[in-house]
This record gives sequence, structure tokens and C-alpha cells, in this order.
Amino acid sequence: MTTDAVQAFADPSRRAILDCLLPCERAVSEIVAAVGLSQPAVSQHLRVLLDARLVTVRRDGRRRLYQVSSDGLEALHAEVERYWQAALAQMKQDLEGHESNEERNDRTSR
Amino acid sequence: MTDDRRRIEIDEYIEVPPSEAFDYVADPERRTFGDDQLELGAEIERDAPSRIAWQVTTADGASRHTGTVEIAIVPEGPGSRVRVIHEIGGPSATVRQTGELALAS
Repeated sequence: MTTDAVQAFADPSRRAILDCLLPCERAVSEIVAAVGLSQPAVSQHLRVLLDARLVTVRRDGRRRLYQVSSDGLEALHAEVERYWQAALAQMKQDLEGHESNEERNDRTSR
Repeated sequence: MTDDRRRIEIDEYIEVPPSEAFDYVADPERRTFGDDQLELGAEIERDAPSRIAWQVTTADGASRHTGTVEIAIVPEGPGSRVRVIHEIGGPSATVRQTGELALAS
């Protein structure tokens, strides 16, 4: 992911927008209703997400329909994967009472 | 958008019996996941000591249901293989005209 994409992805409002686009593409008015932000705020976030290539847009008559791009999905995938890797490592430590391989590798690689 | 990128599947070998691993993941007081930026919601399935599943939401967004998490535990040697399967957006999620997410039956 580029630095722009990492920064774009870090904002909780933009992650909420990405979440609501996951099932299907949506128009701006639908995104506004789903995330509970003002239309100008949503439009600004969508601009950032477009620049970072985390979403794409297409025209359907007068509507602009946004959807998560493959970069956006990759970003979400990587974040969820990191979350669960850490959770399982912690579970292993809690239940076995010593460092997991991952934590040992983290420690020795510093 | 490829559906396979919506699915995160990772596993870890833990040297305790499946029942101990299951008790840990099923107990909110012991597990360390699911009450931070990733929030476990309603329990969808419980089949001790092999399988437990929840709906899941991201806690820092305004969105509601954004996926499902299943933890499967199988015996492996003296311990357990614990596998997490997280589906972003939930399996076969469909959107009604009102915009609400619903799981396909």
C-alpha cells in the first residue's frame, strides 16, 4: 500500500465508508445515510479514498456509484489478518504460559 | 472485487486440549479479542469444543454488521489447531432496498 493509501485508510470515518461499500456499490446519498456523516464530509472522504485508489466510481445516469477497489479490499484484508495473528499469538501465550514463535521472532529481530 | 480477499483464514497450534482452547475463546473474561476496534456481536453458532461463531462489527465506524468470525478447534497431537475464519461483509451478504444488510438464507 502507498503512504497515501495508509493515511487514507487510517481515518475511522473513511473505514466506515469502506465498510458500507463492501456488500455493493452505493451512491453518495446511500453512503451518507449509512455512516451518519454530512454529505460534504462524505464527499471529502470519498475524494481522499479515490486519490488513494481505495475506491472507484462510475456514472449511472445522474448518480455516481462508488465501490471498494481491489487495493481497498487488500488494505482491509491485511488489517484483519494482522488483528487475528496478534489475537492467536496472545491466546497461545495465555494458555501455554510462554512466548509464541511470532513473539520470539519479533523480539530477536529488533 | 474478488470474494476470496473477503476471507481471512489463519491458524495457530496451541499445546492445550481442545476443551481448554474452546473455554478460552468462549469466555469474554479470558479472551483478549473482540472488545476493541473489532467487536464480537451476536453468537451465531456454538458447538463445544469444536466451533464457535459470531457476527462482528468494526467498533470505530458507524456501520453495523460487517462480517462473521468462526473459530474452529481440532485436536492435533497433544494440543489443538485453532483456526480463525473471518469473512468481511459476512457470507452471502445481500442488501435489501432499505440498505440493511441481511444474510442470504
